[in-house]
Amino acid sequence: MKKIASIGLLVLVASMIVGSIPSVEAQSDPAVLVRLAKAAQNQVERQISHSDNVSDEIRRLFNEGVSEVNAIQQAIRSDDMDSVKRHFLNAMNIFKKITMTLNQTDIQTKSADVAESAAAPQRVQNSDLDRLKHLIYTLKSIARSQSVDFAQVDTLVEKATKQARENDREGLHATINELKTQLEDIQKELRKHASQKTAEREIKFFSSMIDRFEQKDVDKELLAEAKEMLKEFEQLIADGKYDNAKELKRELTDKIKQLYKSLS
Amino acid sequence: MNQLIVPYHRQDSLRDERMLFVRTEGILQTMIKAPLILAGLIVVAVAMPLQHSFSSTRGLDLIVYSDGSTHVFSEIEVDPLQTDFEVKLFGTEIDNFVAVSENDYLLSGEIIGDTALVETFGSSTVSINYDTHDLVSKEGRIWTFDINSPSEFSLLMPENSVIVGMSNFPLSMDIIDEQSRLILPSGQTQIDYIFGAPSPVPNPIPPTSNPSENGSSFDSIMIAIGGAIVAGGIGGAIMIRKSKRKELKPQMVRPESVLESKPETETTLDAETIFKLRPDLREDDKEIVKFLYENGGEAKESELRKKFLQPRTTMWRAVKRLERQGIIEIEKKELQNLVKLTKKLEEEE
Repeated sequence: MKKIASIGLLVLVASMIVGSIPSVEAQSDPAVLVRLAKAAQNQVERQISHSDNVSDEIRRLFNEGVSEVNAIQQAIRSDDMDSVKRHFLNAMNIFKKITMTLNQTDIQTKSADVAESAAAPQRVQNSDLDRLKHLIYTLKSIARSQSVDFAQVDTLVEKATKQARENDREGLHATINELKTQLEDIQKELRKHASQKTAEREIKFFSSMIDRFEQKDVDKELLAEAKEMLKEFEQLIADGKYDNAKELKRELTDKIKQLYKSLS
Repeated sequence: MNQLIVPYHRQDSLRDERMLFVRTEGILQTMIKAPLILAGLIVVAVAMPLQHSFSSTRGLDLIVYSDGSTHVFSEIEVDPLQTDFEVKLFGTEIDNFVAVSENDYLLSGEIIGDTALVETFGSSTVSINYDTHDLVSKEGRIWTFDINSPSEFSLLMPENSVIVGMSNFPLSMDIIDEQSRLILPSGQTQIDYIFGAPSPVPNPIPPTSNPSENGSSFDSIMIAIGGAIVAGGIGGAIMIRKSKRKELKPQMVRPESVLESKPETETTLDAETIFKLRPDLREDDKEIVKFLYENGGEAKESELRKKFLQPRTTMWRAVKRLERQGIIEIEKKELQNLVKLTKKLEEEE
């Protein structure tokens, strides 16, 4: 019996220790690191070739970075994961350093900022449209059981996507604004519908919790108060007095929380 | 003459205190009850996953847009017996916050600073969507994405962006339509990127090592030792599970799963069979399954996006959802995801 108990103890302790070790390390793929480092190397090389005044120090650093990338590949072949990670980190640090140095030079000469600021409005508009597309998807999933019409919204999305593709910035700006107005109306409609449903869900939840507490050893006085409040809450909802119900809901929630805490 | 010195006062005091002499031999067996400790550890071991299961993040997907804003989608398990729960947001500048229950109910939420208080009222899973402007900063041409994530997360980088600095090792990565998608571990991650002309992606070098050997030597040893110890336990558990399954098999009645009773064939399951085996499938997921079936059982993820006019991550989430349910398999083909209906599907327990 003692032997069994000791083995059981050992297995439990071991499993708890192993369970607490994050599985992150076990999953990383060395090929990913090479791909990332190579992409950074190509980009930095392009940046250097487009810059007018590249110092010898930057060229030396770049060569060092290339050597680190080669070393990653070499380490993968040798199956030396510690070296793979070290060389990856070194390479990315070098490429970041070069980019930051070139960036500082660009800021001083303001050469790159022209291209950046020219691209900025387009980026903002395209991102605006992408964000709205996500919002539409979320709203559609909520509105599935309701009769909310998204036809106009879909047409506007198609129109905006076409305008973005054709770089029609003014048209896109107007369509995005129109879309935002449409979505605000839909959200209002959904909230209105949700508030009615929410009250039903809240009553159901409070009732089920009170039923649960009745089977447990809780403060009977507190429980009686909660039951009384629930009756009142139901009446207020039935009468459409949502503002008063909201206030009472807060109190009832506190009571339920107190009762729930007393269980643990 | 021998003088006898008797420290009588000391003797008295000893007598007063009533010193007790205990034999130390066998004290472990006497004082420590192994079964009690075992029971205690079992309780702790059982309680640990339970503690983790409530208010834990089940999924976290981030999309960085080209203007530096970030869309956050997070799926969180919450205690169904609680009235509300607090969720920490990534930043204070939040737009388009929407909290939805597992039944697609719109939940009320209040944002105070970087925290949202969501009224759950019985929900067990809450999906949260919002856009934040606080995760990316910019200096000159360099954009920096900085996050301290509580869990593993996926990150979709903007189109034409090139990562030039990285503080963390990605768990995996793929490139879809010139966008990098990374899976990153929890904790602090900083990624520096710039926008550049799209560059050809070098072919990946096939990994020569076993993925399980990728950790540091200390971690590897720890995992190996721990793995060896628990292997026995796990093996036993599997054996017990298998024997239970064998016992249950004759009793299981599955009139719907026609294909399961057939010998293995290479034909794809039809959509209706899948719907029968997965009755809780979402309507939009059913549409994807129908399309895949009509398309010969497979389609590229990009084709699905075009067909359903959905953003990348939205479609990816849907595909991952279907994969989790065992309905589809994802294969890599020419740097793209090929989504295939599975040929065998077991009924949910």
